[in-house]
Amino acid sequence: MIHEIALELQTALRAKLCPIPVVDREGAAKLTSFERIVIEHDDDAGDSFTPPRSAFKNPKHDYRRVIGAKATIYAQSRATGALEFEHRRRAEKIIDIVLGAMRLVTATRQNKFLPKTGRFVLLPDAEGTDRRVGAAYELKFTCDRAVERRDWAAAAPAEGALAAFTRTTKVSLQGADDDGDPTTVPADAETACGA
Amino acid sequence: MATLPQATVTIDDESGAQAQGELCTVFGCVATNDDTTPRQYSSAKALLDYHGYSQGVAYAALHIDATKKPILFVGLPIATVGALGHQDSSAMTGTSRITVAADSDGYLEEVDAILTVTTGGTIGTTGIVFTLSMDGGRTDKTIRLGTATSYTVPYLGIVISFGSGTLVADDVFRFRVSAPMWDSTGLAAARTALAAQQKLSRSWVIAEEITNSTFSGYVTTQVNAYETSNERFTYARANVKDRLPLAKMSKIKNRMVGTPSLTFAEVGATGDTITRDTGSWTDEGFAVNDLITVSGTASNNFTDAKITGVTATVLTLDTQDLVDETTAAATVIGSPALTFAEVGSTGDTITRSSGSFVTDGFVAGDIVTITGSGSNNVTTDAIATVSATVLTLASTDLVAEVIGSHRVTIEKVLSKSTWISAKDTAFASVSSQKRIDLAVGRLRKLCPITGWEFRRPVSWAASIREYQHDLHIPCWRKADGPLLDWSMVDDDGNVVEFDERVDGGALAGGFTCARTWANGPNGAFIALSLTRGDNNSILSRTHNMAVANLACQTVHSSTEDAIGQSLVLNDDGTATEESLVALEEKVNTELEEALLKQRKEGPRASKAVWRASRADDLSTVPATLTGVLDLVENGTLEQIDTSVKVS
Repeated sequence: MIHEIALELQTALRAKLCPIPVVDREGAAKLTSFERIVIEHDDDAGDSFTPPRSAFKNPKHDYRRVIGAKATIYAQSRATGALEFEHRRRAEKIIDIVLGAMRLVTATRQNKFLPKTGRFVLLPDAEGTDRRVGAAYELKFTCDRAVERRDWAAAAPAEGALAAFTRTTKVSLQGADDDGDPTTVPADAETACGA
Repeated sequence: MATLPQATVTIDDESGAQAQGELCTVFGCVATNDDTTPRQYSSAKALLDYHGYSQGVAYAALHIDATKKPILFVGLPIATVGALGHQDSSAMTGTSRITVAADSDGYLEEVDAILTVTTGGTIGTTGIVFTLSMDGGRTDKTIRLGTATSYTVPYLGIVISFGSGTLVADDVFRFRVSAPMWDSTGLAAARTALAAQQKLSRSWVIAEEITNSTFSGYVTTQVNAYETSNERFTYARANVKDRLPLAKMSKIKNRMVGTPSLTFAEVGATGDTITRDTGSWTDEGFAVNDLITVSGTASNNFTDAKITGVTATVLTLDTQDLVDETTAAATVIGSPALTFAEVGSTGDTITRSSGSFVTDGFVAGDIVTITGSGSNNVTTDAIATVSATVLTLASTDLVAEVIGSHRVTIEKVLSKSTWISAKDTAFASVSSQKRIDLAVGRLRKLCPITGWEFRRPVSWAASIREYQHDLHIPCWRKADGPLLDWSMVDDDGNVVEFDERVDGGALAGGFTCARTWANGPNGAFIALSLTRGDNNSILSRTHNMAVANLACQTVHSSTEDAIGQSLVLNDDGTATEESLVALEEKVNTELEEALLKQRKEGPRASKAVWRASRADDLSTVPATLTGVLDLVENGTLEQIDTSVKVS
């Protein structure tokens, strides 16, 4: 699901004329450009589970799985010799667009998108130096989805469309249950209508 | 023609808004707009304006007035017109010949009419006053005839005409008229029309009494088809044809009008003649085969001479030997001949020269008494066969006799016990029919339209009482008091109608009937309201059937709403428990609202739970789900046995 959200986020950002590519973890390794948005599972946060949000008939929803994920936005100011604040300023511009686009994408997918925390993180290759060639912002969020009752082939249970009823009304008077089973009609009940 | 100024009663009752399930469908013959189209009426006036008067309209007026609830009225075509039956002019001393005919709508009501002259006079001359009762003398109205020669009884389709001559004070003329009747074709068309509209009713009321099990079969056919073909659940109330009025031979007496000069002529061994100078024998009702009695002459007074020829001015007699004479002092009275014939050891006959025993109401098997004859008075005997003009007796040995019929009274005798036993036998075949409630007996009730206090079917009273309460309340609940203004008694306070407590036998026969209570309060009550379901079954009680019908209808409509819905299936094709429970909850919520909710008169049932089958395979096409409603009705007290311990 996270992979698909990344693809749809890409589409949404392109519609907003945002040139930053959206990739998952594997895709990020193949990129040559600095600026990118990496969407991936948050392995540290993990998932949580809640009761179904509403009652669906078929397939039945058993739970909602709240998936921990994160988006890391890598931004680099175009100015020559840009300072850190300029890189961060560009990153914040991208963050705002990403947040808006994520809301729309997940709303369309009917997954609930909930931003959790956000912070600027140190670029790996900037450790030990005070030179910043760009900025990285890590946005942690959750995205939920229903856990549906399906089989291995993802098929929901079969359904039957009711075409007709056979109705019988049995009439009795209050008395001791003749078979001790309150769910059955007394044996001497009369038929008011039906068979 | 002027009539006595009087206040008129305009039915302008208005019923309240219709509550669900509180509609009564009334079926009745009508002469106007008999299109079998169901129409809802909240006002009897509107119904009367549209269909004119009929027994069904009269019931509807009573119903709306007493219950303040609307009705659905279905006007049926008249298949058998109302007919003039017994007439009796034997007590008339005036010379005006009174005849009764139907107007253009036909006779519209059963009447037992008594016309009593209070101030006599000559027809066409103002001053004649008479009282008229249409309800056997229970109530009467004073009519001033003025110069008119006829009087049309309002609403009832009856025209009373007065031939030229005189009416004398204290003269009495009686007649009976039967009500019209529908047939199976009309009833079937009505049921089809009812099914085509959306209003549901608790019950049907069949306004006209039914004569035999064939007619009750017409009713059960339609009310059962309403369930099986139209998926609607109701029951019908009908009343068995009452014991009264008992058949009685008409007694018509014709009198020569005025004082014409009569010429008696001796012609030969037969064929002697009586010729009049003015007036008309035929206009005055004299007919071939009648017997005439002449008095007031010098030489030609005789009794019961047979007429063999009639013209306007000449009567020709059979063997009566006349003497030539002319006189204006004669009195001539005639009536149809009644011939008693000795045939053999059985099968002796009584033949009338005109009129009809059938029209008078006699049928084979009737027990009759005969009085007023010369040699053939009979205490009781059975009629073996009957035709229009011939009664054949079972056992009485008659003596040959020919007599004017106005002297003889032949009437049926039938005790209440014999009658109810016969009805039990006649309707025994109407069994295991829980959708029809057959009542016997009648009660007096003032008709708000005509002002007469007709004898009305007990089924009417039972129906009106039941609609004054919720459908689970029996119409025979004593605490509700006597049936308001329905009477079993005559003017002297004697119980004359069928009273189950006194007469008995109706409940044993499975009939709804009326009763009084030994310790009061005074008045008529419904004894029990019974369907023709199995004896002492739960559904043999009409109020239980009403609750069951509502339950059936509720389940039907709420499960119909589920048609087309998809249920999640298990691997074996049966529906999942969750799916079935969700469906059951919807149906049972409707049932709870319709039957179990606490209402003004309590819940309608003790329990109503619908359960769907867990075993039906719904993976097939079409998928059919079976469901059973477990309906537990409220118990109703019928008998209370008390032991008194004395110490």
